[in-house]
Amino acid sequence: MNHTARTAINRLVIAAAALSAGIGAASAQEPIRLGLAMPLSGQNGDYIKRYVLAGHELAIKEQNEKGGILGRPIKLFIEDSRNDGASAVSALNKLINVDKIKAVFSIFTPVVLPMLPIAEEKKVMVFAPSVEHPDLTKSRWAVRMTPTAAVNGTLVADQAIKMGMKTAAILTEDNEAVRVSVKAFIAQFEKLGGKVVGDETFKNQDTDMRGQLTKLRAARPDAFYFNAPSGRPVALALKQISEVGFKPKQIFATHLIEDREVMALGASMAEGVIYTAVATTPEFNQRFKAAYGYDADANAGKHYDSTNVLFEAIRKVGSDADMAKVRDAIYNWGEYKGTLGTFRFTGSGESRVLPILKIVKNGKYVRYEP
Amino acid sequence: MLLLQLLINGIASGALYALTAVGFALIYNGTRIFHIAHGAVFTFGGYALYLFAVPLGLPWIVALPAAVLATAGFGALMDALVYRPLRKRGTGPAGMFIASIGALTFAQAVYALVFGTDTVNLRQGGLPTFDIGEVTVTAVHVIAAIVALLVFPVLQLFLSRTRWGRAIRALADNPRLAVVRGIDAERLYILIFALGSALAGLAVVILAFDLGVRPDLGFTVMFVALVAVIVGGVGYLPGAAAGGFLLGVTQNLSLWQLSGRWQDVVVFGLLLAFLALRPQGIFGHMLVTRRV
Repeated sequence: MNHTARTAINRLVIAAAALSAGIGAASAQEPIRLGLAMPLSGQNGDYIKRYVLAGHELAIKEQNEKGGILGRPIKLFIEDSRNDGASAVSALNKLINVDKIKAVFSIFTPVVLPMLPIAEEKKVMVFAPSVEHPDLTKSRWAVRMTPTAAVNGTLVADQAIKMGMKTAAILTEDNEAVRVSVKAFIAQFEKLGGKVVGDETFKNQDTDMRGQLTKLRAARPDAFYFNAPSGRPVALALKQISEVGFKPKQIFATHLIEDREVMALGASMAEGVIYTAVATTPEFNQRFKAAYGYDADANAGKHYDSTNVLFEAIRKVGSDADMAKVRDAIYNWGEYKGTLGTFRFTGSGESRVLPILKIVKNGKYVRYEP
Repeated sequence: MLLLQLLINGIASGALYALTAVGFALIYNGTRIFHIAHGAVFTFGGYALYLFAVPLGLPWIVALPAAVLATAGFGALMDALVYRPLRKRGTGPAGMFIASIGALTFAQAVYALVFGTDTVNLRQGGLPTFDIGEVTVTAVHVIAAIVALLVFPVLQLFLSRTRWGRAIRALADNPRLAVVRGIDAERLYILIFALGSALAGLAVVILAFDLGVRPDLGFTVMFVALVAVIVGGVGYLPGAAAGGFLLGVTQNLSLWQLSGRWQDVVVFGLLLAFLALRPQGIFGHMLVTRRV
């Protein structure tokens, strides 16, 4: 073997050793530690696992398959926050103090708002992509990826008036964020000349809403606006509307009408319902379906996008050591193209995602085009 | 017309509360066990109906009674597995109550693990309805009221006219004396749990057929049934039935003038009012002569 050949082989061996050392170093790197605290048990547990957790896990899986972020794998620590603030705070404390997470993903206003003071003190980012309560983004450590409740309520009121509805009745879960949406609906509907003739609520665990629906039927409204934070009450309300003989000219709801619980109770009941949603790209829907075998809903898209926004920001800052820098990178991101289309961060955790209207037509969820 | 509709809705809800409350009261009066796990037995009946009707595909006429029998069996099994060992060790009422809470929590967790936290539906679409003028009644509401109205007199006849029924009353009235007189208390406990659970089974198959089943189904119904027992008069079965109907009707009629968010306030306000003004319940005075 001549000198040139020997040198070449030596270089190859050194290069291979260096490469393998590098790969070893990357895979041995400390993972980026993220937390998830959500009500994984209880009434909404299966829904959250099916769409919300699935959205986060898909984004993390895809990123890890690409080699992680800055050569570091991403590790998700999961805690059941149950559906109450005290348990959520315990879950967050455990994630911060034991699992040393840098950011937490969560859902539902009563779960997320109590977490914020602790997150602010410990400088941990809170991603609550689908929480619509206006107070969320008053925190300098929170991010949302959805229109606020008030925006949705106003959009529905505008549409009802455009369709010539003179009176409206409302049935909602007695939940703070949902009531924000209702207040916005009432304000806008009455500002535009409509009259709200009934406003009823039900509790989170209620399954029989026939009493409230009977009362609203007696008010004979043109439009009926139903709002609940999970799919099950939507399914039950649609079933019971027909049972009490309540026949408003138009029913309005939220994107949770796309939950499979509604289809399980009977797709025909949802026919013609107009609802607020955010658009997700067909490409995301295909990837989600390929991964899980069922269609994504809007919340899956919101939670998926929020995970990727965090990844991009850590990459941009070059580290997750100082989460204040990561937060500032997100808040000042400007235009972001994701699964939800193009949205903008302009100095806060408010992502300015715009809502759209959809309708259930022939059993399919399609964009509403009057 | 709204008032009449709400009254009818209330009678239907009240029938289900009454069946559950009478089942609970029967067990409490006969065994002195504050059987809060009656809620878990209730939920079991819903899942039993689901298993019989959906995966096994049995016709409703078979699945419904089979689910009621399965619920009765599960209630008796709960006595054998949870309470009987404690009775043998001489555990007092407080210990029994704690064991009952444990059994309820454990069962709910198992249901969630096996069936998930989503509601399991037994059927699709709305229920068949009948219009009488402007009043709409669902078939399930009619069935609930008929079942309750048929079952209570039959139960009363059983307790007053049969040997087993009289033995249950004797045990409820004075357990020590009943045993001295040769009554096999352990065998009677099985019967009492089976009977009380069968009543819960009747309520849950109607409810599950209408609204589906989820792990915490019995928990919510159980609390209202407990209030019904207290309002009706602890220790007197017709009182529990009357309390159930009263609560269902009051809950629904409250919607006439109040928002739905006040329904719990109405139910528990009624409970507080009875505890303060008439702690013996509506029929408490009947206890001087009768216990079940």
